[in-house]
Amino acid sequence: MHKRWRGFGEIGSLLALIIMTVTGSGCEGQGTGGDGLIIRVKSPSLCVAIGNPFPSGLVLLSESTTLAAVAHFSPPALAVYEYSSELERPVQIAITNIGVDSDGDGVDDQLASAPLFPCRIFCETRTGGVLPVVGALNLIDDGLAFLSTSNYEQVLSFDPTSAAAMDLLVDVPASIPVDRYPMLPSPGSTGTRRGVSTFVCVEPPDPFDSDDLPIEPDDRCNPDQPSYLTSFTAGSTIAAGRLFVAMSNFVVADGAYRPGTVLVYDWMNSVGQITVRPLEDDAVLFTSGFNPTGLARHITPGGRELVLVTVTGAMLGVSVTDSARTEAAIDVIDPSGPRIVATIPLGLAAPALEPVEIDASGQIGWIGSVTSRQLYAVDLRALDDPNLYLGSGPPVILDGLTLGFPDSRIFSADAPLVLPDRLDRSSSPSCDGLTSVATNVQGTEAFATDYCDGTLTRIRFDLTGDSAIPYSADRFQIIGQTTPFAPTPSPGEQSGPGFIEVRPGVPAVDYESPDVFVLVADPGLLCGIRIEAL
Amino acid sequence: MRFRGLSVARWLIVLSAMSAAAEPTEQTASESSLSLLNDPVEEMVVTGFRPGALPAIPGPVTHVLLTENFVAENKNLADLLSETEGISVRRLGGAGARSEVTIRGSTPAQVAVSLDGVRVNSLLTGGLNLSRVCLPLVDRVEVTSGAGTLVAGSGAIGGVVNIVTRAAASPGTRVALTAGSFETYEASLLHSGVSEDLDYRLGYCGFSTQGDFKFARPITVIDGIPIGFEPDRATRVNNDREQHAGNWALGTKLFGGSLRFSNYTVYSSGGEPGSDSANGLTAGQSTAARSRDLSNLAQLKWHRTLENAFFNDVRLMLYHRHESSNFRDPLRASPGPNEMDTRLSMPGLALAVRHQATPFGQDSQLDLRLEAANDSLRATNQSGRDRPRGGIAARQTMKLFSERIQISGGVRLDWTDGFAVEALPSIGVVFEPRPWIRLRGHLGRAYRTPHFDELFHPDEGFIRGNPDLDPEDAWNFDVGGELAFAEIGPFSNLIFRASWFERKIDESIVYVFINTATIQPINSGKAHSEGFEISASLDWTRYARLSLNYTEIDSRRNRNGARLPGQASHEAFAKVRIGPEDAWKLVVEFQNVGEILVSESDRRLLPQRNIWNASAGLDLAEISALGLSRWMDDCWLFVEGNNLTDEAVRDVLSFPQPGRHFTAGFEMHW
Repeated sequence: MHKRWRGFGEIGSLLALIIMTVTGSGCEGQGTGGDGLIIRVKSPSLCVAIGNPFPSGLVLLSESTTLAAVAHFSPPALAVYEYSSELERPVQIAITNIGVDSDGDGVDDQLASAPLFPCRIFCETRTGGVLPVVGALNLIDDGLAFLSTSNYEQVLSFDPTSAAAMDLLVDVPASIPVDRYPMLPSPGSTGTRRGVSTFVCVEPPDPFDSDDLPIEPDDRCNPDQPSYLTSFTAGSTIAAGRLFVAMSNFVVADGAYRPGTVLVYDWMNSVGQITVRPLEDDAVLFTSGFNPTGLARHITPGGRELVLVTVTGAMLGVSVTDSARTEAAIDVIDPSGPRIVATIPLGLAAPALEPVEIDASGQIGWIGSVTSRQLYAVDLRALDDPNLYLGSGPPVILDGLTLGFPDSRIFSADAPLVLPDRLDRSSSPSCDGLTSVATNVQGTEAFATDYCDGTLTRIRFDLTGDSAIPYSADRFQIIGQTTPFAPTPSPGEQSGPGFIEVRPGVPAVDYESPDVFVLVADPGLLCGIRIEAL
Repeated sequence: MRFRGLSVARWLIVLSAMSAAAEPTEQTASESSLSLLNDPVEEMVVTGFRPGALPAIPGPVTHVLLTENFVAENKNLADLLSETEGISVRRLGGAGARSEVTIRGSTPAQVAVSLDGVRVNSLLTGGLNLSRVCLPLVDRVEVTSGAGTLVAGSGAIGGVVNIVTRAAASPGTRVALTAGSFETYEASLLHSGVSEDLDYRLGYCGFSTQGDFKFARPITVIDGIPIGFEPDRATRVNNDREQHAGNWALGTKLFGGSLRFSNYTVYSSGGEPGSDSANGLTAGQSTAARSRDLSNLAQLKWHRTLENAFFNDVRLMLYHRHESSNFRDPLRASPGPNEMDTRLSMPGLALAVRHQATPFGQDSQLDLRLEAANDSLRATNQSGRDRPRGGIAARQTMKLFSERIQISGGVRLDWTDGFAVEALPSIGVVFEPRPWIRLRGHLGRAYRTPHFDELFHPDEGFIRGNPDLDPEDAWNFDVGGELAFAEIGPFSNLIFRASWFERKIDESIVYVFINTATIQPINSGKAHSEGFEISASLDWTRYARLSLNYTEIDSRRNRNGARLPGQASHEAFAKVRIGPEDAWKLVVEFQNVGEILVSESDRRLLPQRNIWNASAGLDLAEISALGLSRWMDDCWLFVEGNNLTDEAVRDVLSFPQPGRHFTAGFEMHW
């Protein structure tokens, strides 16, 4: 037995330490010592790591820039990449977090939206409100890109060469009802913003959701009429001096879709000052089906400027691999009206949630599928028919059954362009197909990725000579396939190719490879691929 | 013994003599080395080389962690395990937050955790939340790395952790109270006694924490450009928790043997902040999600030793385990129900008999074990499930040449409803030529049937189960050695351990994105892990003890060589204790954890980190002026600081752990 202690000094010291500990909450740290929590990311060859899975959008700028922009899901951000031929892989050159006050109204987004989404529980210490979740990315030109956010519904404006947010002047006419645009400046006033709010109160003419359940009045909008706040901001574009924004109006809690809408704003660009103004009339267009997603500006061979809307129809559940429940279509908006003048039905196609990919000649519109390894295509030549734009009646249905109008469908749900099986016969055990498509600048080839089996397929199409509308399917031929990615899921491997973009310019003339860029979902990569390898 | 005045040159000679000793004996190295010196220094007392004796370890167990060794250090079960080589702990937050154990690169579900011999892994999710185990009620933790399937059956791919509660047969009372950062308070009381043929134990342990700590948010750097969340600091919200655990046990004699009933109950209630994954004041955390869970384990054991029967030792155990939980999130944004109630139960029995004989003068031991249980699930968000399972195991152990060689081999046939019978062979060899050296090797088959969530989790859009899963299968192989020295030079009580291990995984299960919106478990095929673990501990006088260990693991998929996620490439731990331990002690700990790959296919790496902890404790009962020793054996006052350099720590990307924080308290024993 050792000698017992006899002094009180040690006790005093220890007691002092204990008292300091118990009372000294100021000593608690915040985990800010050392270098902080720096997450290293390794990029594989030919690709740049995005830093998180499921990047939600990819655009390539014009040939002169060799720049690409990618929408980041988490943190919510826009990043810019340089992909010149001298570089082994794309290199990130800029990235901007959309921030806590993403729209630049001077108020934290969550606090700003609290009146619309008030706290319902634990409100002594919690706030209500919602936060923006990044979605679609749409390029308008080399100086402007739109980044959509849902939850906190808006489209944000960015300079896609620097990822810098851009200021807009939002002007709300005094004649607009106070509650219609709850997050825009009050009617009769203007405000500087970095985006345009897409929270809009609407009263649908056909007040039933995709489950055929009646839509109830929304106290935030009109307590006396079926109404709702638009939600799930999807694609956006500018045509004829107007900004168009597709709203899916999906309700997560119900798993149902409310009638789809396209919001319309005047877009005025004068000496570097952009002004956005909601239309006083016809500011909301209801689409022909549920879930409008992608918007594509289209100029017909005859010079008419249009907006094509991808209307996917309702899909079962929230998983994109589930089957289609209602019919899909491509709606055609005449932006000058604005009015939906035509619709091209695709059947139970469940098309990709992307803008229609329009070939260089403006004759063919392509869209992928979220449920099958197949593509759809429509003949856009029918949109030059001036009869489509006469009067103000319901949209003309271009299915061959409307007197005087052709069937614009080349490949639809009933007769899709089926992509071949993966060459090595391996396939995804968990999903049947999720395709994305892009075309080359010559207007001769399309390239399709399949998220599920990891393939890249090359399709040649021949639009030479006269032909009746629509082009016959035998003008489209699958000429090659490669397997740059593994089938989904493949733990430890790159899988899930999604958005695809073809590099501007002529291969071997304007640039050396790579020829296409693909956004890979798992683990989140931007990869350049050489087409000659196909 | 002490040394003084020994020159470096003489030390070298001493060391040479030590290494030259072909057969170390009780003769000290100082004596043999001094004989080599013609000019011994007067009064020089040399501490030399003296072999020690390795502690006996039961069966295949590789580590025995005695809680007594951590008195006044404010440890929890996760701390104890994480200080041991080959074992990693994955923590999802601070006090009361989920923490899980992994062994040699396994997943948490691949470690069979039992409480007094009864499996306590979650039937729903596979792993055990270590924070639900109250260390003051625990006597020791037995760890079997890379083996243990003969006893545990399904789930012991990484190994087995058996938590042994304090025995009722050691009378006494223990009380502990602590208070610390984030308004965390903990109390425990344990009393046990013996009355004629009856022994009893009664224990309580509980804590509450407000839990809302501040943390730094991750910054991702790609091509030299950083991007982080805004703001770059946040507070863990909705992180309060209250937990109460109690156990009681009664033992008596019955039918010539001993009968013991014990019951362990844990209730826990608190917020579920979830992940930090967004901008803003709340950083995307769940501000309203709450959970409550109650688990109970009741077991009745009867044990008898028979002298003239074929089976010399009979053990019978009946048990019932119950878990119920409630989770609700009125603000849930993702699809699925806002509230879920789940009840799990597991009644079972185990019979173990032993036949001991001495054929040809060598010890022989045959162990037979029979088990049967029924796993039952009832939940508001899915159909009820019942899954009977059972196993029978036989192990033959031969102890040869005065127990210098021990060979143990056996097989277990394990069955779970819905899956084929699995044969799990295992063989181990221990060679102990001297009490101070032990070599061991093991080869065994292990497997794990999928847990309920992996199979049947309802399809909620973003997550679902996979009823077509096959079990995980693997072969484990390891070799290692241990050395014990009573003295080497100025050091005493030296123990060195080293092991090399390899695991060949024939089939595994991982959660992956199967499409753009849904996570599902899948069978992911072959993989392998290999690595080594080394440790050393020694005393330097009775005032200092040093412990070190290091583990390195390389785990990859066979198909593509991709590294497996969720585990550090290496972990190192060092601990220095200053003081006579039974009177006062200052403890400094250092832990270095290598980079952790965030998830399957991911390119992101959580950074390597260095963590420093320190504690100081004083046993007031050792201060004679206070006179406390008349009433109690120990009365420790202590203070502890964790993560002193305030590192940003995460084992899982979106689940922060506290920065620097402190605790103070006392422990008494009489």
